[in-house]
Amino acid sequence: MIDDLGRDRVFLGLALGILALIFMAIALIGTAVRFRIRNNETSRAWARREQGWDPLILAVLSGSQPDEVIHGLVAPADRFYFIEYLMRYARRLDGPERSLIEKLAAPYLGALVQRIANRDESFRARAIRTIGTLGQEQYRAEIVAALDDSSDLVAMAAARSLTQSGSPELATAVLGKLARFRQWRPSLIASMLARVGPAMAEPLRALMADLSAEAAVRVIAVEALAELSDPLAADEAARLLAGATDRNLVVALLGLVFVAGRAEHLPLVRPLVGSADAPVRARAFATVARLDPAFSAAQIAEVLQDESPWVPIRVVEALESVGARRLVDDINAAARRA
Amino acid sequence: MTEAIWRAVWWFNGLVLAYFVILNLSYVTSSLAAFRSLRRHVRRLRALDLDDLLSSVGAPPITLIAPAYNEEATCVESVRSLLTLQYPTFEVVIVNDGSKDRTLARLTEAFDLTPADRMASGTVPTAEIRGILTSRSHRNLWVIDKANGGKADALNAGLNRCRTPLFCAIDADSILDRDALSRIVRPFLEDRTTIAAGGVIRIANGCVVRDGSVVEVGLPSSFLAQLQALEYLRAFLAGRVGWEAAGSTLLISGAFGLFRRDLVAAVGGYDTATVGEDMELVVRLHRYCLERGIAYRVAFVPDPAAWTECPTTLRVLRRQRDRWQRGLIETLVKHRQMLFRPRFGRIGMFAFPYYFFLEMLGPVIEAAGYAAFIATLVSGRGSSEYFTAFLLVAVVLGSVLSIAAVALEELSFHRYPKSADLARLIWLGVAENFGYRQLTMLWRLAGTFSALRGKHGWGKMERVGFTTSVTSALDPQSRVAGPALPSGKTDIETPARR
Repeated sequence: MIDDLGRDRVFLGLALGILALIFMAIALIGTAVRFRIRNNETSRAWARREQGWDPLILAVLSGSQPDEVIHGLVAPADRFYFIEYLMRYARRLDGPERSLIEKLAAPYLGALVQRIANRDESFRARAIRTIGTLGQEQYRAEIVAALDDSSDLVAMAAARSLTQSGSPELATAVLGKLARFRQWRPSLIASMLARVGPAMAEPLRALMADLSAEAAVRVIAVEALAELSDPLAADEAARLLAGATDRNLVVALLGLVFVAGRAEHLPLVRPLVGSADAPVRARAFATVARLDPAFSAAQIAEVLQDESPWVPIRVVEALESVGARRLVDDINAAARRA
Repeated sequence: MTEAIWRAVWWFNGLVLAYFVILNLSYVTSSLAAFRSLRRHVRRLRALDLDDLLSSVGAPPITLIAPAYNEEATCVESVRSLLTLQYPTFEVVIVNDGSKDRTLARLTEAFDLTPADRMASGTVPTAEIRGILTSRSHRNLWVIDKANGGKADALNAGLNRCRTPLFCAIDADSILDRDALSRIVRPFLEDRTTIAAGGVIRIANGCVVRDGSVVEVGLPSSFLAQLQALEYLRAFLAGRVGWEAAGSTLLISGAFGLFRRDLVAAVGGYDTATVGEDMELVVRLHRYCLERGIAYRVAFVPDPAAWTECPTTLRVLRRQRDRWQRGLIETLVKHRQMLFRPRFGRIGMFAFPYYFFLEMLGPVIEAAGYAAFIATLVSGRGSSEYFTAFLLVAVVLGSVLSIAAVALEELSFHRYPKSADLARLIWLGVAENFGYRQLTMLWRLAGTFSALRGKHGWGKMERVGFTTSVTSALDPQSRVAGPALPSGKTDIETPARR
């Protein structure tokens, strides 16, 4: 089917193909071995450095040695390793010890800041995370600027650094950029904001009440306020319930009234137990059950007979989460009877 | 006439060669994509501080659902392992799927189980639920006792009682890395459209397990298990990572997958009519979202691992591969409407055809190709060009791909720390092409015929148990002095297709 010359050419091509693949296999083996050697060397180098740094850092932290002694031991080539090493301590320490770690890191952070301009987003994010942990004071402007980075990963690293600072002023900078985190899980962002503390409540309340803001952004603010159990926000949330149309926002507002509301909010909540939306009904029932001292057996029966099994489940869960044991027992007892 | 037959065989040989070329090219593409993707993933992991990210209350609660069937030998240890996972909020739901042994009794004794109420949140039909128990010692442990209905049915029973937004389907006899949940949940934190995520399955044979965790990783001593360890590396690090990079993950292993509960309930839960319920669910989720225009993502995360014991005898391995092939065929035939339909996007035009033509029909083409090849050689009509080309694509390229998977492992997670294991893996990459691949192809072919005959059922898996150094301090009764092989032989349901 093929003439002799053609056969020779085909054969030659195939033989070359096999040779090329064999070379590729050898190259891959070389790559695997190279990776292995590099990994082993990295582990050994880390172990060596730790061996040198461990006793000194403990001595510095305990105050038996001045912090300057450790700088002489950090070779220029080891500065990034040293920063990474300090990060491990920074995560675990607080107060004056943490300040000492930051002081130890300060001379080396300048080199790291250059990485904020790196093309690779993961390098940028890592640099922001590190300077956010060890050099928040010194590099505040760079961290705030990173909220506008083209990469969500970098922006998130900046947001986390700013919220972890504990400073409401810095965390408020994150509030203005919440829209860019709409792909992220809202409860995660809300939790980050709530960790700043009650000082965040005021700007969060303003965001919750801002009708021009995206519903997804307002949901984050409401969830953060619920974590803070802010009573002033509950008043506003109850008022907003009447006009809210976004389902996630209504559920979040009800959640806030549930944890921080009072009996006078009941008239604004009660209409929602008739909502066609099961998550809204569940939250509304739970809120009424918690806030109404006269929550009756008839109302418990109504919860249990809801067409969605999620309504009684979520009501019980919500009540359990705030320690409303008596109500939970009543509902469970009614469920057993039913 | 004879000449015409040989001419047909010649053309068929060409067709088989083309099949091998296309198959291996797809593997090469996948490996290259995986290389890029894994590098990026590893860097990204360094940039994220997962522990800190999850220390907040924002981490979504997860329910682990683990079906158990006749697992009295390992169930207590497995549950203890699950209870020690590092994650802010999770529940463990063990579904005792009508075990005939003392699985339920052992769990009851070990965890002080007592009957409890747990309202059903879902309505997926299942076999009869006999009772629901909760632990007095561990508030997040629940056991559902039900009549036997198979793995999918047991998962559905767990799904019906799941209250958290996410659930993690696992095999009760697998061991998860302590931080596996924290790692596999990441796509759900970063992208709210994520509906499912799969993790890596690794071979536990040869590893040392302590306090319910794999503490020392090594290759198994059995040659057959070693070959599977390499196979899993290739399948997950080169295959799944590559498909993830293409946004076309069509399979999440039943041994370790995290799902959005509401969506799985919306599609009707697991299909009890197939033995490939894990793949079928993922295909159905794709189909459901694409048909309704729902924005979604099915992710694969290469760092969280579930460690599982693999078959060490040809007989059990044959049954496993037979079942995997049946599951694949059942799924692809059921959803054949997705094939080459542009409305199903990359899944319909790319991933589904790959599985349909290269994975499902592959064994038939390969077997016929080997037969034609042998016939050609025996008749003396074989050409050296064809022989060389066959060698090139079927053996040399196959070896290159396996070695590439080993290189990917070294690049990313390097979980096998012993240099001897690395050398062994490289050697296995060549050796598996001479016999093992052909054998698995024949088993898959047998699976194809089983599917055509309408065979159902899982078959039995024989396990010897994990190698433990010092067993759980929580369970003094199971303490074993020094390295040992505990728990004799147990017949249990085999884990789903990897």
